[in-house]
Amino acid sequence: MTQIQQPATTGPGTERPAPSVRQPTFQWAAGPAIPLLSVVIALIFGAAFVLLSGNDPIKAYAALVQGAFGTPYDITETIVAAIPLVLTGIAVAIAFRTGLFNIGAQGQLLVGALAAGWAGSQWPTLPGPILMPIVIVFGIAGGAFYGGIVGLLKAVRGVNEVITTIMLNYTIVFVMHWLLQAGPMTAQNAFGTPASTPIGAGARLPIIIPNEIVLFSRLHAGVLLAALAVVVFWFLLWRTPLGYRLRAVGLGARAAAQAGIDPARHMILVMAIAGGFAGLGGMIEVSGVFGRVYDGFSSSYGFDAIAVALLGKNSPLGIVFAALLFGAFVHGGAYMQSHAAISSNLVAIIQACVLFVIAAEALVRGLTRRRGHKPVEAIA
Amino acid sequence: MGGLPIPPVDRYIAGYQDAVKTVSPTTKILNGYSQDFVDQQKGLEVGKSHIAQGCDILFQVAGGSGLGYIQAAKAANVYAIGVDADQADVAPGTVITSALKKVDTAVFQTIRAVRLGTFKAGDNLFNAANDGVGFGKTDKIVPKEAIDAANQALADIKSGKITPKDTVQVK
Amino acid sequence: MTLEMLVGASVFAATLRLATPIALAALGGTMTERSGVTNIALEGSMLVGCFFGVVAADRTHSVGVGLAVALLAGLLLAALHAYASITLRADQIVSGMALNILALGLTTYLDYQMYGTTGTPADLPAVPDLHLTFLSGVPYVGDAIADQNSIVWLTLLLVIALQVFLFRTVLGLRWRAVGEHPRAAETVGIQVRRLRYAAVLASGALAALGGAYLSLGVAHSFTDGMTGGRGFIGLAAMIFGRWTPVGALAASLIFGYGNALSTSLQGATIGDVRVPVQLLGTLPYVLTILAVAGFVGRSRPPAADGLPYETEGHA
Repeated sequence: MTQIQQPATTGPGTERPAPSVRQPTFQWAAGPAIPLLSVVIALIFGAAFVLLSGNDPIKAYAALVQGAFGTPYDITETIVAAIPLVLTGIAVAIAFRTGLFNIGAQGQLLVGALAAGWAGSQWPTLPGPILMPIVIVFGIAGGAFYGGIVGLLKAVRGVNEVITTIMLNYTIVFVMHWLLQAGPMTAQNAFGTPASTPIGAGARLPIIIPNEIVLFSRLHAGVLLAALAVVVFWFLLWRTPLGYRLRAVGLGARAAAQAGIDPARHMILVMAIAGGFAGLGGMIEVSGVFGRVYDGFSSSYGFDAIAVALLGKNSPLGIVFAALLFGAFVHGGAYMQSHAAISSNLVAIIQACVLFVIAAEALVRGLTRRRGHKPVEAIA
Repeated sequence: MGGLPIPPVDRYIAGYQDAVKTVSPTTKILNGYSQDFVDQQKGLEVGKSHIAQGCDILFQVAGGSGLGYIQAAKAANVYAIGVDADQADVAPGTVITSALKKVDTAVFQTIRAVRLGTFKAGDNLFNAANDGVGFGKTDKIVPKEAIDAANQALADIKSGKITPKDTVQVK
Repeated sequence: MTLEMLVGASVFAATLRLATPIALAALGGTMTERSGVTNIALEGSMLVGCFFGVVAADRTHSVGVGLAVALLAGLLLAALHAYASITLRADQIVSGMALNILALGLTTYLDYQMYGTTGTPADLPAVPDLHLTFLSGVPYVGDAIADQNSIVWLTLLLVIALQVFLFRTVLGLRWRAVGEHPRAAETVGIQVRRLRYAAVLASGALAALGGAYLSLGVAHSFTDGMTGGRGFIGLAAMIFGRWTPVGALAASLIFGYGNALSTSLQGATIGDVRVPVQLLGTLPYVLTILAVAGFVGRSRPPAADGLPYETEGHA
């Protein structure tokens, strides 16, 4: 792809430059600078909180980092925790890019998990190369269906997606209760949490780092699926005509409509795609971590996903790093609580500070913006 | 009232119902679920509903939500029974006793077993036989005969004379 | 399934009880969005109101102080949001999300620090119910409304008051103008920033009142995260109610009714088949979606909702 030079912005006779076709590289690289700065500032705020509660911030952060990355096992656990966040983060981000607010990643993940779990246990004897793709397809389809409903209701009846996603999130929780406790997916499980029939061995994502290298490793092939999903997200949105149209809709619906893009159809499409990503996340959790669908196995991916998408600025690489950060918070927080006797709720407070500083980023951005030199959003 | 009709909850309810039917077959039993283990308002609503239908004693197995159930009992001046931990302090005068899941005993015995080298990994069962369950402080209104009968029942379960049913009869 | 289960007086009574916290959150949301600021931190304001109300009532043995502190707590959280959204012109969604996470983490942490394993005390001063004894003989109506909590009545009054305020007073008109076209409002001399600050603070206080109702009025205690998403349901109710106080109440009542049904229908049978208790839990949500899809359809938020406003030099 050729790079188009920016004409000079000063001097006599120069007109306002046309929107550049490609975002200048230095500006792209400077993108993460502000979120990074925000994280640092937030950590300082968080340290203040820790001090206020009578604890030692150095000890707390050391425990947090130790817990998240200290041993190879911890690193794998952080990655395992981050994987569903990557996918639900994409689910939220892709909708944001189109101007829709997808709070429903949580529900879409669950539907995907249920669909995948059901498919995996229906034909357990099928060999891996056949069963695995089936389970993946079911997972994506389940999530896509659940997301598609939201888009459909908005396109056809104008129902605000905030309402539908919140309502559907709760609905699937109860449906899941019924499915796993008294409905068709209940499996015999005398003592423990209600769960579905375990999926066939062919549908389980293999552990890719064997116990010989990292003891107790749970790092499963889902990480490869997640990486693939990130690439697909990037490719779809920045390298296909459809992605171009979707981003255009997000940047200005009226202009997009004038360019001949039908917002209704795109709403349904985007929500279905977003749901599909989240559904894949659910499928990965079932296939890679649990082997069956446990009632209530996922409780906070939905909200964390919004935070991940926002922190990652709705961009592929950003989401990966944000998801890893949140995964580190989850895993490191548990360690911090057990080894440094500091409540893991402090992790929530630090998370909040990170987000809050991100929110204020806009001001920082405004201050650093020079007159007449607006940052360029790459459209092409 | 249970939180959700899942085995860990329903077993409590099943045993409770079995005991009620054994001791007093004419007593009417109602059953309900708050569908939540945190939301107190939901527990309260089920409580109000049950009290409106004439309940005098409210037994809840619903964690945080169950606190709402106990509140409903307190507001209507009827009695409640706690669960898991001794909940006598939640509403003194209302909570007449609690069904104890003696996690403290379980943890202690496990640590002890590890220390003594007798620990076996896998499912370890704690029940009446190894002091894993019991009932909590009884309110002064509970008659002595009831406490004696309860202790006797506990001993009978321990010795195997009584085996409580584990399926809920009144759904 | 009996008629009693569907529309009995006790169901209506439960509807009011369940709708109240949601209605308060929806009222708060309506007030701020009408002025042009999106505040999704209502859940957080509700939760801090819930918690700090209990702490204050416990320490001072006074429910009045408890309520006041609850309102203050919700207001302070909203103040952070106001500062971020109005002065810093930050992304309002991000700020709101951050404050929700903060509220949950903070209240859970402090709850453990202060009430650790024992839980909040049993003798917490409570917001009294309003016993309308003159109604106790009246069939249906008596059973339905004779013993509601004072805050339920306060909420109904607030709905009426705010509806009149927004749509019948000069200040209310200005309020809405700021939400639709802040630039134009400013040119006629309306203090956009000041008004928006007031709106956000008010929303925090309203949501906190809902929280205080939950902890001091209904549960008489505090458990972590006890608001359980009511702040967000309130946002949905606000949108459903087309950003009007009365609409917010109507939407909240529909949701509350669905909730009440999920209790009253337990044990109901259709013919020979028992309605599974878990599916009953979906009632309020499905009912809301159907209602919005079927009857409300497209609803338009205030034109300048959620957009940061850059003033021309003055506050």
